[in-house]
Amino acid sequence: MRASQDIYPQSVDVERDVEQLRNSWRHPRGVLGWLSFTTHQAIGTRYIVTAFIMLLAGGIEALMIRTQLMRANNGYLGPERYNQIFTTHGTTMMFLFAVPVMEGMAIYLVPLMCGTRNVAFPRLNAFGYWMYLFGVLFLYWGVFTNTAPDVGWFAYPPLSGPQYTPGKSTDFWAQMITFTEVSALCVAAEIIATISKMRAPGMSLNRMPLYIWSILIQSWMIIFAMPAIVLASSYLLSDRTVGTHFVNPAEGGDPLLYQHIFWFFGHPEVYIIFIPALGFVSAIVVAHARREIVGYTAMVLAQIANGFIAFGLWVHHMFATDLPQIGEAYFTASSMMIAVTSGVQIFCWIATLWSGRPRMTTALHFVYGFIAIFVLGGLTGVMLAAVPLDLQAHDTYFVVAHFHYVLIGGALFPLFGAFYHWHPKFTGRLMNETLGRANFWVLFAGFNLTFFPMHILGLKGMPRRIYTYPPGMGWDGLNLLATVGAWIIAAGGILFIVNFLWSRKNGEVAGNNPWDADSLEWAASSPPANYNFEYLPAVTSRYPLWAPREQRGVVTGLATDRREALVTTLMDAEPHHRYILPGSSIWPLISAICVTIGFAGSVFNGWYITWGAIISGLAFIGWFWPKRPLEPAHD
Amino acid sequence: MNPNVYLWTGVLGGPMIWLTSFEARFALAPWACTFQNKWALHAVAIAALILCAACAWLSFRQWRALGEPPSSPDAGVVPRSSFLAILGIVISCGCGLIVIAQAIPEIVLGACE
Repeated sequence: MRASQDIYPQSVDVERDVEQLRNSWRHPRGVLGWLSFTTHQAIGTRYIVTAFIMLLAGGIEALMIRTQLMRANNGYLGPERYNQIFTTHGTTMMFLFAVPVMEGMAIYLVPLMCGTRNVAFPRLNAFGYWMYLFGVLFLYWGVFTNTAPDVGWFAYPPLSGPQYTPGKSTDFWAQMITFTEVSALCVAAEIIATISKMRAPGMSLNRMPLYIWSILIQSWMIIFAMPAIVLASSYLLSDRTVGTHFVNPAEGGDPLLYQHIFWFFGHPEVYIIFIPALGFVSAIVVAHARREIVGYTAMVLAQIANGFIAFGLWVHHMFATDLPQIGEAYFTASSMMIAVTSGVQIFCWIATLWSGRPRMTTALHFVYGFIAIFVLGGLTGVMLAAVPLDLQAHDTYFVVAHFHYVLIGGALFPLFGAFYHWHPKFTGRLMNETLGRANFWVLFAGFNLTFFPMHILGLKGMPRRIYTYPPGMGWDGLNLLATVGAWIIAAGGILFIVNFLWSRKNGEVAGNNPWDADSLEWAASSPPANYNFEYLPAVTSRYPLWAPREQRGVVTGLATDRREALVTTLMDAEPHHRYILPGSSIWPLISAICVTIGFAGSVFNGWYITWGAIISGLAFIGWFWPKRPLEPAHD
Repeated sequence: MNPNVYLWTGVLGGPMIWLTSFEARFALAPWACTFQNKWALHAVAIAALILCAACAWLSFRQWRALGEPPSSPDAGVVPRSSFLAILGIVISCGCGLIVIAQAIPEIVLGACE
């Protein structure tokens, strides 16, 4: 399949170039070859598939929690098992699903939207995925060997310290953090480099799609936030395994230090999850309302402001600790200010939809659902930013309702919308719209049935993390309602899976641009070839595919017999130099295995850090070993 | 100096000044209680406000210097610079607003509340 054949200049030999591109970007064969892939489509797909499996696991855990709580004095799960299940649920959803799935989508979409052939560091990309996968296996190895963590997804000391939680379960949790954060940092670095230096010629900063802006901001946030959680979990792990005194109060450590560091990561984490989702919403709204976004500058401004303000909110998770009231009030102020920047984006989307010609597709249904749910979650967020109300509602189901409205409404609904929107690009086929709308309405109804009653439960005083409750508290009916809602959400999830599997075989063939959308990924074939574009596109407008045909251009002159890409300038995306991207390699996997031996072994014996560092160093030497000649002779 | 440096100072300066002043005031809050004196908190707030205003002014000056926008709405260096300058003006003003919002409790609450 070929995109926009008529825009290619007469001077190029398209057939020869495509043949050479196919050869130079061909995946190696066999199992070893499969393990060596470094193209962004392959790695992005692996991230997305693994993350959706984690969504399934986290969803099953949520159903177990809700089944246990459906009536008073229920004996389905005992207290220990319940603690393990809710900890694994939170950990899975936050660390193993929400962040990785956003990264997977970015890895797949960013090079296509930027009009280049791959991410800037393809082998680092593969290494990041393997680290993420080994983190998943590491945590669930613990779960299936009855050493599942049971101290909450935040693992506060002193509860998580060696005195109150002996054994290895918390060590597994703490080291899993290291795996996933190394992976997140790898992705952030390569995404920042790709967006900064590999955009299509002409895609200046003021022409970047809003999704690209959102991912750029998210990646910078990862760079600043993730080291904090690696530090917190390392403090905890070293207190537990080698007897240091960082956060364990029994040894003179400071548990509040842990909370500060954890939430310095933990609050931006929420924005790391939902800022890319806001990018999905912008892309879907523009394509399906069939008009340019209202207030592009205001949208970029709001996203940048969100990225910064997110780092000034963390203490609102700690209002119940003994901090100075003036200090808490600073966080109240900034927590309320972030509602302004979020509100700006909501108004821009509504104005775009209002003044556009919206097609009521499934993707747009999910956007409308997102707006409704996210606004409600934002309102309870503003309520919880006030110290007096927060102290009353702290650790109750009101907080559970709030953050599920923000995270499911703010991230999962846009993600489902994004999946319906980009599925044709991923697979070449459209998803079924009838099943899709049913999928949306079942999820929307189930979600509100599950989580709206939790506001009332919280206000009635039901605390979080209790495995059961006595009858006569006035909580029975609402808990039953929430459990019924949870099973309806599960039905919605099954509808999505059925639609996905059906559409892969029987969906309508999509073509390159089934939505007549504006951004560059729709200029590539569906699904894209390993090299994305036969000739890299050049951009003459903020909405490149809506520009008149005669204004569209391509880059010629790049080598096609090797993996060559164009590096452009940061501000105005002017061509700067050629860059040879590395090919497939088994070394990222070998390196990840060596690092895993060090990380996993250190939970049992500190010397594994040393042995792991030595073998990882050797693996990295193999990875970076220069191959001569570096590049074939070219004019 | 390269005008891009001014533009980036406008865009990133305000948020960084706000975050720094915020961290400083949060760290100074126990000190203010111990010495029953809030002048240090006020001083940091006023300094931050002045610096945010300076960033906004820097961006405004860049925006004024660009002159009339070209006929094509988003083509070339001028619209890109104008875009960054407007971002700088609004972000710096917004950060100044947050500095003021955070100064209100300093005025209303006592040093140890």
